[in-house]
Amino acid sequence: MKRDMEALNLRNAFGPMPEACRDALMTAARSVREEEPVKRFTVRTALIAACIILATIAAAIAAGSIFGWNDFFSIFYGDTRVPQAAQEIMASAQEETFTVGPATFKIQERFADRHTAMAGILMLTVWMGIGFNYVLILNAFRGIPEDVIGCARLDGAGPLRMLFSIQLPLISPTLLYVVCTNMIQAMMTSGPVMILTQGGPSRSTTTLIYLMYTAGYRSANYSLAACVSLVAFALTFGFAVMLFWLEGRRVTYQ
Amino acid sequence: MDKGSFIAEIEACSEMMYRVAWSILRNETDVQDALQDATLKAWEKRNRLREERYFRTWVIRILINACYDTQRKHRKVVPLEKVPLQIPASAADPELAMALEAVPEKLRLPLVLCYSEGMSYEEAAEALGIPTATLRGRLRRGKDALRKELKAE
Repeated sequence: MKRDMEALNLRNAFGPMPEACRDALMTAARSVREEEPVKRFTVRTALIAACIILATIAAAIAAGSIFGWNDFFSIFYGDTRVPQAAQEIMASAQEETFTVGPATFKIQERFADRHTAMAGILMLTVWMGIGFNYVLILNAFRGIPEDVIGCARLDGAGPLRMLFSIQLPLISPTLLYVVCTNMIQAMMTSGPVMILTQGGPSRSTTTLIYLMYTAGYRSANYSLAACVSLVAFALTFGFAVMLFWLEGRRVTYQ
Repeated sequence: MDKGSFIAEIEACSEMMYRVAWSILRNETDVQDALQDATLKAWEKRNRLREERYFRTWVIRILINACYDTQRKHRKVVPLEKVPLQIPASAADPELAMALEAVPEKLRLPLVLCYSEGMSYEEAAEALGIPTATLRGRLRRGKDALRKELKAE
């Protein structure tokens, strides 16, 4: 049957609104509370931020403290020489301050002292890693089914219980991935060291990989470099094995 | 925006909201869910609405998203293709309702917004989050599809 398109009233395709629907809608509208604050910042956001920062920092610190060798080498090499590149940076930026995320510091103070130089490198690597980890962990949190959260809340779970018994176990595969990759990445840290401190002052920021590089390519001490690379491999491998052992025990997949 | 004017605005839009939600979900329980979700979400985000005269467009956009959420939630349970088409028993023109349902959803929504709810092209484009030119194209293709469906019956 042919019908005249122009004469159609599209609204005729719909029936009147059923009472049940109108009731549902108006009940919802009347149930809103005036004093309820406009949502800007939720507990979940804070939680996600905390998870990311903790995971990244923990990985970086663990790797840094193992690979920092802070005072180990200074026993053998008593030099307090500040590398030339660092000297030049400091000379050109006497009073200049640098901002890494929430912290502001003077490069003079941070990288010239052998006790704080490694902390400076750590801050930098953590800050560089946060962005990507944020994406991963945020996505994991958003992937938690609403039903599970709803059920837990119905059973009377408070925010803490919710975090440790529901949310963290559910995102544990992602956490494993984040911790694993960050750990290995932090162990391989050498870029910031090469650029900023060149292992100094007093070798306080010489990481294994940087030591391998200098021994192999600068001093042509190949046997030391080969040895260091093997140790680095063994340690990294050990961590990977340990994390995957943890996976079997602690990580749950839905 | 205070509670009183919010309720009044929702009440004024209720028929339109129902029709838009129905044209996506075609199931009364789902429509109720989506309407409630959209209302609560709109109240939560009420500071995002810059000017109150855009309330209609804004709330429709929230509603469309809520409908897709509802649909997604239920897709896990029953494949949407297997849900029998439902026609509101009370439609004034059941034949037109059938034809409209046969039009793909991408084309159906612009038709509903512009020709049933009387939105301007700009408003409808805003509500759907697409450029006006795209909207015009979809409207034209939608009309063609509707014409074809009507002829076929």
